[in-house]
Amino acid sequence: MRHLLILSSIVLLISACNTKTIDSTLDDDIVISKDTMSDTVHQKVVKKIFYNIPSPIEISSMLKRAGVNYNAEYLNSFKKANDYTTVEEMSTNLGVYGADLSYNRLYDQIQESVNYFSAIKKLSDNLGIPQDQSGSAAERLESNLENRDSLLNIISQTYSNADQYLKQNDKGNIASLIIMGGWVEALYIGTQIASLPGDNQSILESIAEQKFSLDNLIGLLSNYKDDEIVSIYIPKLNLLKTAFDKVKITQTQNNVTTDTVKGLTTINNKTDIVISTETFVEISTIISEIRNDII
Amino acid sequence: MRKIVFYTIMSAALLIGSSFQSQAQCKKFTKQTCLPTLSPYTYNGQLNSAILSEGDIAELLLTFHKGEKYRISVCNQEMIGDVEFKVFDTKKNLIFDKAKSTDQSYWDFISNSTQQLIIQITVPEEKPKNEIIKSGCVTILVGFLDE
Repeated sequence: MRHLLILSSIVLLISACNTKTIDSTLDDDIVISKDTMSDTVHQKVVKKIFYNIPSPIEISSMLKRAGVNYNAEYLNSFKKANDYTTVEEMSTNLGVYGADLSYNRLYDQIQESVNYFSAIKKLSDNLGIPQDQSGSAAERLESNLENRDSLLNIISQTYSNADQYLKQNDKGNIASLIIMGGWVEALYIGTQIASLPGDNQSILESIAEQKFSLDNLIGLLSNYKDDEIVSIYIPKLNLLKTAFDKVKITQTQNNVTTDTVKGLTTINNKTDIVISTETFVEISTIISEIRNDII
Repeated sequence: MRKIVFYTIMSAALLIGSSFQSQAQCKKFTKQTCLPTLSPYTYNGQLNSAILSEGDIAELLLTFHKGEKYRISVCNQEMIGDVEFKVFDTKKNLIFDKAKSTDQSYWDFISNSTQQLIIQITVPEEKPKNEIIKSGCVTILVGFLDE
């Protein structure tokens, strides 16, 4: 009894001292943020900042709405999956293939979707992502090839399971490289098609809007700036940022309305986007270089 | 002296074990409780989960594309109470405040221009303050509607 009391006291004492211990599996950013919505401006400490990037599925959807057509020439060959042996090559191209698969799925390229999914599974296995995270998805894929919505769920689940596994096992650096690879590939496809003759204004605007996502991507990778692989890509993305900084985006104040019946809020505002031909060419050139470094 | 060292080591082992248990519980909590709240929206695949204590703030920065419908879902373990869930634009104008909305833990919206938003979560501090500060898992998930 006496020993139990002593043990309990020590546990409580150490626990009280460590109540603000930062979660060790995640890198932390401690910043001061101002909440200007209250009448009294006050300082708060933000314990954790998450940076998210639009998924390849979402970017592919957005590009298709903007008028991007299907062209397999712009994709990274699924056959090259056998060539990727380092952690850097496997993780970045796992993201690249995710974008390629999303693109194939949108245009109902069934056989290509199967090929790319096989490449994704190969790289996932080689990265040590457990079979039960992606194995059953392969079986479901084969029985749902014709169903675009089911394919969407399978792709989404495969990548979300991988992301969760990697982050929970102190491999957030690999998760960030996968995300980067997917974003780079999606932007590369968009810039290649926007370079073709024709009315590409909508595609150009979609590309210009990636300015916001690039800032978040740099923020995400900066969490792992001490990782020798991630640190290679941060300067490249900062170079891309110098090009995107020339894109001018101005927005009016947001005006929010809510349809209580549908349960949907609409954020209304007006945006003007200015991207010169020179800036577009610069962005396109740099993203091609980054993409070539990856594939 | 030996007994003090022994009890300290045992205590540290207990704490480390409980930390792993918290993270495992967070993972389980996210999968079982949070992910289903996104349906029928498609999850963006990025896990935003942390163990937060009373008074802690977490933020998620993300670009939302024009014309796309989104759902932001915030879940937390019961022991830390109802977390504050607000959304700001980059000029720190308040776009959404759960406290002024429904009891739902999620928010559906559409923006007619592409913009960066800041999702801010605050764990409330218990009043009156207890000696032991409560901690729990908080998860922010984002989904979009593929139409």
